Amino acid sequence: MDQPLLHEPTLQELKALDEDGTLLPELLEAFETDGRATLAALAAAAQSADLPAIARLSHRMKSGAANMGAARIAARCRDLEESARDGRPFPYTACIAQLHKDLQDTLSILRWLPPASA
Amino acid sequence: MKRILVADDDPVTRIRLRATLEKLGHEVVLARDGFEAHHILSQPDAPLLVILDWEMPGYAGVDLCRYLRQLREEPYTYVVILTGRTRIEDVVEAMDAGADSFLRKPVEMAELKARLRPGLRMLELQRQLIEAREEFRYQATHDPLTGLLNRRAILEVLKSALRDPPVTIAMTDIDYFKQINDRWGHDVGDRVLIETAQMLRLSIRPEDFVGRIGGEEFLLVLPRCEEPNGLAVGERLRRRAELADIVVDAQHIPITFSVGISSTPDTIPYEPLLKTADVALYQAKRGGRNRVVSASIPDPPAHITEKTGS
Repeated sequence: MDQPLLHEPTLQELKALDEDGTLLPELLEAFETDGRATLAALAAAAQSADLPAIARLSHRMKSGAANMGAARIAARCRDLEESARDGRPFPYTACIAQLHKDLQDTLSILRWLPPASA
Repeated sequence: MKRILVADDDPVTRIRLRATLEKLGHEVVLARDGFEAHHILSQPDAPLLVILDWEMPGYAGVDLCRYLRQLREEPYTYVVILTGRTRIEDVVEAMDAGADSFLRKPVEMAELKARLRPGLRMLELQRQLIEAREEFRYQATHDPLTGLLNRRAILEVLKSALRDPPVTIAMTDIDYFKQINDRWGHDVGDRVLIETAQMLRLSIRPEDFVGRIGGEEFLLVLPRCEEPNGLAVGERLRRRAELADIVVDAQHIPITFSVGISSTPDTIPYEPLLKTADVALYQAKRGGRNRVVSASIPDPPAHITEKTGS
């Protein structure tokens, strides 16, 4: 996927919101915790070919990722959601595995983001 | 500043919206899913501006919107649906459910501000309208000098109380009030009326009502009260007035009350009850004032029982 990992304007807006330096850590923790839980639920849904659950879970993860500026995760979740909603053949398990890697990559960069004042 | 409900099952969206709205100066109430949002919206002090995610566990945003519109017409709640959907059918569905506006995901500060502006304007107008209406309602039902119910309002209360008898009324008049006005002036007379109103307010049960029905004439409506208790209330009022020490501009103004009581164990129109109390009050005046007289219906001839305090 040639989608960039992060959406820079969103990150700038988040940094501008984070006046006392507590917002980004709070967002990151929520993004990581919820992301890992959602990926586990997605893997289980893919295992049992539960397409409605895949559509619902990937829709929610897409929303969180877009709000976090995690553009690649959001795009991959959109593909996953649309395929599951349409009932299309799709490499669901491989896509979810890729999402694990995207989450890891995204988190490792976001953790090193300079604060707004820097 | 407004209290705004943000309902979204995604924690990142919730936190980001909370931070954005707080930066704009609002107080934010968060709901993690449709159930929690439903609970918050059912409370009487629920926020009047709400941002609801379309897709949530429990209740979807559009379902909550329909629920809200059925729940109450007033005060109006301004609903913004948060969604990634952009198809015209989706917009129509949300508007048909009662939504006022849309907000696209991911939320951008500029769009959020623009979407909230009409809602904030509408809620402010609603606040002003409700405040003005309540003020008009108050003015239409209260005596401006004493703050007691006015004649029309206390008679409405009496009509309503008579649906669930027994009911006793006490028509209370300040004796020689004209002389107070003549001797000390109308300002002092007004102060006596205000003090009297306060005395009457403090002399009744929480379920009783008192109104000013004429210049120096007051009507007490005592729901679920039979004649003996009504007489006791009248006597208590008479003694309080006698013992009251009304001081206006360092002058002690003595006052006494004449009280006419009438009572009914049945559901009857209010006019005969009022007429009977008026007859009793006349008897109290004619008997020398500063006294409580009870008259019973049917009338005429009225069976007059007198209790005097002097």
